[in-house]
Amino acid sequence: MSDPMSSHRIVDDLLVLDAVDDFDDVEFDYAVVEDLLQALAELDDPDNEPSPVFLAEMIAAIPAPATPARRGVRIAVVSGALVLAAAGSAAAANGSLPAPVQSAAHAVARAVGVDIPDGRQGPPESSGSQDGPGHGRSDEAPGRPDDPGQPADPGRSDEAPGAPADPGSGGVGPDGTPPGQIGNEHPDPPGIDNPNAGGGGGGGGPESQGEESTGGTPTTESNPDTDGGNPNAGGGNPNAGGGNPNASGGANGNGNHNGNATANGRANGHIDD
Amino acid sequence: VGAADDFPGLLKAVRRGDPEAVARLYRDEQPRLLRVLQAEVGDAAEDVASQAWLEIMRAIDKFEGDARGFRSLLFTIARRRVNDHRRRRSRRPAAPTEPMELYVVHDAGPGVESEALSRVGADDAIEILQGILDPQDVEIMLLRVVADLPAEEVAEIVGLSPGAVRVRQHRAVKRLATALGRLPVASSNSVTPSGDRREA
Repeated sequence: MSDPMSSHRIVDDLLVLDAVDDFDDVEFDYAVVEDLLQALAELDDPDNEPSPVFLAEMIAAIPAPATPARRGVRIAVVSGALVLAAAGSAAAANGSLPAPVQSAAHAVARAVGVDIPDGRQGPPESSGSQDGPGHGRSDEAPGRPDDPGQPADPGRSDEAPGAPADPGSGGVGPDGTPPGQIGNEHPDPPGIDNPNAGGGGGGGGPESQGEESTGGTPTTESNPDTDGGNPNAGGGNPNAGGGNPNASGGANGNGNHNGNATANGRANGHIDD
Repeated sequence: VGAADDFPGLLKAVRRGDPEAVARLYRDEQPRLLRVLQAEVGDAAEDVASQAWLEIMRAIDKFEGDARGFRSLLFTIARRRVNDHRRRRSRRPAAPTEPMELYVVHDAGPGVESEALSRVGADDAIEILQGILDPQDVEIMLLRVVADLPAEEVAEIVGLSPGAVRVRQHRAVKRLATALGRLPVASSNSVTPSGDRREA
């Protein structure tokens, strides 16, 4: 195990470093140093086998190959599947899937006792029309056009003023889905939580019929049944008043079981359960 | 470097937990590691080496490099454990130690120093080094000579620049040559590595 070159190499390195020589006036016997370094480098210890116990310890300490990556992939796959399942269920419940798919989902869900809209017909008790923005004003939960965009009193959703005018608010979405049931997570597809719920924003009640556009109407006190107490409830989000330009009427009427504020500045949607 | 020939293959096998590969890697590196650690921590060398091995095995899946890089990492880890050991030891009261008697050189005529040194074992050589050089120079010499690491990697390990390592190594060798060249040769006299003679 000895490396006779090591000691010579050290001395050789030394010889090229004249600039740092502190011993110019000294004659060196490098042979002595080389012998010393040679002795130092002597590695003839025969007992360099790991003991079986220590070998086992070392092996146990080795991480399993690629375990973290596999775990990460597994988590990603499961997460993705859950998200897709949730999104698909939401879309199905909402009735916003393409008609054939919606019909199939309807059939399947019906078989297991779950009621989701059939793609060939509007959602049950859907309020509001499907023909444009601004429909679905609820008689029970009218907006307050003369008080646009007042920030909500946190926690008092029944008095929550609407957000700044939302053109196209107050009714039913273009697909006829009832507004006011989607939480913030789903600003566009309404009706996920309760297809029977009334329009959000300007048209909040379950019986609300979207016949007149309340587009741009700030919706305050849209629904007295709204869960109060949530500081986010109502149209208290002054930034949310723009509404969803793609949605009309109640499509933007949001709300959820929590009575949370909507992304579109609705007083809220309503879950009258 | 012992396992340099097929280090990638060896590393792959070690990562799989192949006992033979782990044992081979250990066989290749342990003697150098132990030699250096004996100089650093004496009787605790085995324990510190074991800690270093376990630590490097835990990180083996992240290691990328060749055999020399592996050795460098092993010594880097071992140095940390040495520091831990010294910290722990510094909290305990140390027993006073007597000045070291390195070896006795008998009057045998010219050239006796070299002849005597050629017979010293590695442990004696370490003691001579420690008697002549300051601890950091000892460490540098051990890493350069025993671990057979280039100045750049020694610099990484000890936290100096490569140039500083070369300078210290240079001076260490000259200091050794100076001290050993002045070794007095006297029958039955103990000689310390610094050249001081003490009556037996």
